[in-house]
Amino acid sequence: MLEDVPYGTLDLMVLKTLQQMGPLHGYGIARRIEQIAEGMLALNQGTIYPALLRLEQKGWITSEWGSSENNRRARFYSITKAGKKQFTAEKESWARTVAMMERMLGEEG
Amino acid sequence: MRVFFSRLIGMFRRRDVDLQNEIDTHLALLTEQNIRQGMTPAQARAAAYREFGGVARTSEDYRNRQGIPFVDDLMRDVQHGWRMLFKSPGFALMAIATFALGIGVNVAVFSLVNSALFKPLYGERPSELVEVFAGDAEARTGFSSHSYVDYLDFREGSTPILSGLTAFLIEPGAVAVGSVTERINVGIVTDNYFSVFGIRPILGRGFLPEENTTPGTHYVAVISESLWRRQFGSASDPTGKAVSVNHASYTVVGVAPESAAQVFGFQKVDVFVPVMMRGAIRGGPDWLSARGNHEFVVVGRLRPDVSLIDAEARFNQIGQRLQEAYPESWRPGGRSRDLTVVPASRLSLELRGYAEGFGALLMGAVACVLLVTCSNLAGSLLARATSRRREIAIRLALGASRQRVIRQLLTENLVLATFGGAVGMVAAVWTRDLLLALAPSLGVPMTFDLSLDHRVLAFSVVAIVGAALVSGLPAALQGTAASTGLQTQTTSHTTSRQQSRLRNSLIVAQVAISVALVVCSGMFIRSVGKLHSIDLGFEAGNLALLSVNPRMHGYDEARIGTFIQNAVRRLESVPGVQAVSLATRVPMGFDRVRQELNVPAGATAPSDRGFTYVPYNTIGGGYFRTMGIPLLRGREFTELDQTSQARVAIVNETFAEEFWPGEDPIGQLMQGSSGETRQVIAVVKTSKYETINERPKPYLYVPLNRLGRSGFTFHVRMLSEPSATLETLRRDLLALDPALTIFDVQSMNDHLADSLLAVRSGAILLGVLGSLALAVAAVGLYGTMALVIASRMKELGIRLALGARPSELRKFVLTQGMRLTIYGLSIGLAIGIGVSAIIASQFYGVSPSDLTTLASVVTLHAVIALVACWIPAQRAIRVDPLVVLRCD
Repeated sequence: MLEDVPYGTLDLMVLKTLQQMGPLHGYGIARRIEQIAEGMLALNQGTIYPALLRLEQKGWITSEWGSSENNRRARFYSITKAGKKQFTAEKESWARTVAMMERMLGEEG
Repeated sequence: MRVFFSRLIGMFRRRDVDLQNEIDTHLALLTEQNIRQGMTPAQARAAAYREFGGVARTSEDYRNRQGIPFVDDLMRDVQHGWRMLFKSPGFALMAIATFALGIGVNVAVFSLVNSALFKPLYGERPSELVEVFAGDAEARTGFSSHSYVDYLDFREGSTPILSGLTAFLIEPGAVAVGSVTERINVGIVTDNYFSVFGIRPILGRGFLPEENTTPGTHYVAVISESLWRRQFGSASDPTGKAVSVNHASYTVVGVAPESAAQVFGFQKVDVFVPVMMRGAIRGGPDWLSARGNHEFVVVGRLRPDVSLIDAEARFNQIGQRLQEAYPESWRPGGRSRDLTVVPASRLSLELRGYAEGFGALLMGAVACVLLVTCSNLAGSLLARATSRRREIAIRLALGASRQRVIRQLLTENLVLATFGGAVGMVAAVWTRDLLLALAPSLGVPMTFDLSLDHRVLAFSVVAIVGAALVSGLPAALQGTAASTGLQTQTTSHTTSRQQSRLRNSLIVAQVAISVALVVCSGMFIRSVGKLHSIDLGFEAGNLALLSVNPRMHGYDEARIGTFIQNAVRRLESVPGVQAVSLATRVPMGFDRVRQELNVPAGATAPSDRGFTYVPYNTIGGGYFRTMGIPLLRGREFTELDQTSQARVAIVNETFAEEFWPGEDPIGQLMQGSSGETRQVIAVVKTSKYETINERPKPYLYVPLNRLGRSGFTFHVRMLSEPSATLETLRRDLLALDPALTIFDVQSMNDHLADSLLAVRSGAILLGVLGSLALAVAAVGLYGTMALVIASRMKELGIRLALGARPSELRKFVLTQGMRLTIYGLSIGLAIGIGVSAIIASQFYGVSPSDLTTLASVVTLHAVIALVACWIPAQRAIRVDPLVVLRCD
């Protein structure tokens, strides 16, 4: 189980989640990430909010007030066009990193 | 970039409440989920908080991301600094005053330097203006002045690259305002002068092309705004009215704005006339068609898409063409005059060199003052950091990073510096008049544009931030050093060794810098004092000077001749007068005219300068006897030389040695630029001609009528200093023609003092700055010693209680203070001597290790330091041991 979320991956996870699921509020995003991680990740759910702000400042996501399942005020985040583009680029770069790391570590073992 | 902007917006549109809402929702949803999974509500809630992580940390993190943390902190620190001001107003006032002094002096002197060196020319888009320069622009050897015919060739050749090219020169003149004749400057300008500079007359118009066609016929003038107000009153329209310039009547066609009255250099121009009136203004021939008569400054405006490099290339071509066409004036002695262009500035390239050296000297001096004030403040801040150690330690203990606390302390200091800087700038503006009074008044209308501009403001900001950093850093670093974190409990009575060492070195630095500055200014002041004892080569005492310009009054050549004869005879008959002569130039005057001279083949002229420029003077008979210059060989000019066609010359010893070494100079021939040949009839002793510190240089004298210029000066040798007799002499001349304007009536000694005014005012300024630095350093020394004693009161008290004698204690305190002083003195002296050696060229006749200066600096500092230590020492021995030991 990962103790910390590897640096930079949280953004990618958020983008992926929003791309796949459409507009979600912070809780929904956190839940979704945890579900997919299947317990491999100890996510401090609070850390998602600074990440969301950062992504919004970069223009990759936007947000809008709405009401949640239990009729509470919640901010719903959705991915923008720029965000989608960024996601694709990051996904590729991530894949390359992973491939490279695998080759490297594989050789060693 | 985008992040930056949204953060910038975020600074003002906080979403704290929004975030709280969001977090609440999140936690509620999480709790519900947990309940669904079978927890009790209390368990579910606790688990939700656990899963979420620190709510406070999240909000904090969120807040930091939202704004720009640095700016947020800065604003908070500024607010804090502002509150600290009122918490200890005494300290704040002291710090602000010190900053005000250091920064104010810098701003004041910088605005002076700025007006001379950095301010652009007046007019529209000054960056497009270029000056034409003949010679090596990089090395600054050459000329900013050109003949009118050359200008016409430049103008024709440069049309593809320049939208306009103007030529102008400034000539002294007299204008009749009511019944008074005022000495003014006349700008002799081409018709396009105003349009090239982009000056719009506030009334009327500039000159028309048809007002610059026939020499001596266009009696039209543009006058300055201030002359308009003086002469006609602001209410009336002066255009079409007459103004009398040099006793001729000109029709006013326009009024130039006041700011345009000083377009170039510092001479204020009140009347502009067309170039074709050159002869009428000066009186006599206009020399406009003489190619060797270099007197016009030429400034052009680049076309919008033309670069300086293109312009340089073009002028290079023009120069080459001129060299081929007129080798006698463009390739004198095989040494070609290359043409180039440089960005135009207030001072022509020729003068910039002097101004830059002097400006650098002054800026260096004020920088020293700022450094001394900064180290002084650093000392006070250090002492304050000691008493604030508790506050700082608590901050550090609560988790503020060291960097953050340093930033906070520096920001506090910046608040002080900004206040001080603002006060200093206001003071600098107020003292502007004082600075102007120090600036040389040369009997010529001058004006300095000292108004604040973006350069001065930028300089002030840099000075303020720099001063805040330099003065605040030692205390900030020291106050937050790791060891202090543990000292929350210790009282402020003990000082760490490191801290006192830092404070001591600051004192040493202050003393050292102020000593260095005082040594340099002392050298300068002494050198100026010594100027009076330099051998000038003529007798400056008991000599009166009276200048006239009869051509200004419409005299023709014959009438001038009679006037001179009558005047000399009349002056000679005045009681106390021993001899009278006249010359067109007075030594150490501002008029530096050179004659192009070719010493013919056969003469072994120094090979690298076969054709050379030699400064010259045109003189009357008996000149050397009147001046007290020894005649080594031959005879003085006689009346016959003035009128006959015989072309004769007198040279000085250096001239003879340089051009005819080992030969008899009498009877030698030389050729002037206009082709005439002269025969040497006498050799005189070399004297000083242009500046007091000049080396012996070749000099040429020719009889007065030959190079006949208009104005000349009567030199009157008296039995005593002429100050009381000057008025008598003036009235005697006036008796010959009451309409005559007689100007610059003064003794030779006064004239010399005037010519040294620039140097002398520099010396005064340096002296003032040196004393300021000295005073600040003395206060710093006193403050530190007082602090040292205050922090050691307990120790001193114990010593006294144990039987130490007061005199021993006093000695102990004094030794401490004087040790620091001696360190500072030695370092300062070393630096001072080193720097003086570098700038020795500015000094006249004083070696950089002038013992008198050094001895007086040492004594002065030692005495001041002694006083600064004595007062706290006195306090130390009056300590009542019981009181000191009881408190605590």
